[in-house]
Amino acid sequence: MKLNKVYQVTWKDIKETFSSILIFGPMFGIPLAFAVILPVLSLYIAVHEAPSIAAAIKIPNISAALPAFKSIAFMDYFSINILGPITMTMPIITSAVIAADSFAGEKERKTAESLLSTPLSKTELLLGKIFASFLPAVIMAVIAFALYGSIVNYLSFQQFHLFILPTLPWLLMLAAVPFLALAPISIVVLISSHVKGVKEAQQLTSLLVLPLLVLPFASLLGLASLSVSFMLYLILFLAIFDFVLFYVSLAVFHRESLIS
Amino acid sequence: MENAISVKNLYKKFGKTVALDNISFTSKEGVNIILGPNGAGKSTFLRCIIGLYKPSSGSVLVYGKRPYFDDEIRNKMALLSDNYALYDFLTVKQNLRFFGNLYKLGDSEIYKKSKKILKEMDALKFFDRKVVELSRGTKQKIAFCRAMLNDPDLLLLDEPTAFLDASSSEWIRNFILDYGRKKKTILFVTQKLDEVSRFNSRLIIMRDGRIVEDTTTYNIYNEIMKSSSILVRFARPVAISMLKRIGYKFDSMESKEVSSAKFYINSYKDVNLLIGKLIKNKAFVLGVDYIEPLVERISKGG
Repeated sequence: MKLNKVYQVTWKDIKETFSSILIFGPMFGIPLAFAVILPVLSLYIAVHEAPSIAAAIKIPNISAALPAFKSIAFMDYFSINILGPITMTMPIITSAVIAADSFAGEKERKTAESLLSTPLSKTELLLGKIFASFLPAVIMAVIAFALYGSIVNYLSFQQFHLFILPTLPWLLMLAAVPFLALAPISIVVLISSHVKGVKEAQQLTSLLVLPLLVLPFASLLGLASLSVSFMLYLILFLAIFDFVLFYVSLAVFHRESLIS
Repeated sequence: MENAISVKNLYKKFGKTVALDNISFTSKEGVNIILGPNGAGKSTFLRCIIGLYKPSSGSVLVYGKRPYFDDEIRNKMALLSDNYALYDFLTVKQNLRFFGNLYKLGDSEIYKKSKKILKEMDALKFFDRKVVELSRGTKQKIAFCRAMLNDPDLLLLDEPTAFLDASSSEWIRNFILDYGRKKKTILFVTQKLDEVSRFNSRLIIMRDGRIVEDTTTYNIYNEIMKSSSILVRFARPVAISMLKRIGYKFDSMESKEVSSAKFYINSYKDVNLLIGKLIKNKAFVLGVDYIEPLVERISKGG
């Protein structure tokens, strides 16, 4: 395996992804806008609506807090248990979209023929394309985490004179990002021989990655507690899941799947 | 020198469809033309040779290696498909650099080679433009340049002149003829008889996934093409009654006088005889256009 060829495929795919603002704009702009807007919104709710919301939905941490600290407790809960999982969905969606375009796009635009006519091996091709989907998704998610973390801290310091982030569960959410980004890519590789175009790949991938979205929404609904032990188990599970999925996708993928 | 391609009893199936049916073929140095109608299996055959498709059964050897399993052998090969197969949102320069790098070529070597070819094809001015902005013909020129980057010993061309203007097509044909003289092997796939007539080389005719004829381009006019038609244009109108006296079956648009007529001939030798008779009958012949018969007829041997 020649690493330079892997690099060339990655470089080409990333160049294509970022070739037009119409392509990458919504994919990266919307998550990053969320990373700014949601913390601001959370502060507004924390200051103005925290006691009434806490009374209505009975979140233990907030309900137990003294009236003077309900806003801080709400901000703390919202920043970690709501914004954290929402940000965790970003690498899943971004990597799925890029990977679908990278694999099924070669087939749809009929560029795979010239690509596969070169002395590129199956492993070099796959690794190049996986990196091209993985790196932007992870970098974007890290930027989103950093952005929303900084804004949360800035706002909470201005309002309450304390920093809410980082906490250990929050850092573990950040550590889970690469594992969350890898799973949809392996799924795209698995289905690449069964789809005809990008839309089909994206629709099928979005169906298959739905289970990965369970966690963030379970947390949003209060059905899962994002404790340190829970996050550690989650990362372990994702690591094993990714490894198995990745291994199977490598074994199943064949060159013809990008052509016919 | 060993044969570049050696194919034995090759079958390629897609589900229940048999695309290639027991093909055996050995290439010769120089230009090898493959002629056949749509669906004859020509493109599938090229794809098996370059290793894009795994044979269902039989063997494909290129320089003694199996291209589907041996990635390195593709360093000696290049494929230009009927689709230009370039990345639309990258520039011409970025496309050529990407493909050149996959053949382990350095950037300066890639730019030097590609600029030379593009200049000759009058396409150098598009070097820094995105492929999506170019015309279909220009994209095909860039694709041809891409296929030539690694100086392939085996060049596989699938309808390379499709979408090109007459002068660019001529330039490519001359380039191919010249390239074939440099101890290179070229497989040139086409469905245009007109294209075939411009080469003096080996001709393989395919139909329904089989090789039905292994001959030469010269023979196609002598033996295989039993009948054809030509359009004769006149400098001034001639009487239908005169054309009837010539003795060749013809079609015309008018009933009394015509400025052109389509004549049916039995072989290429009839062209000279027909024109001679027309001149004798005081017709001023302005030009003769060859009317291409359906390629399906050729491959049926009719």
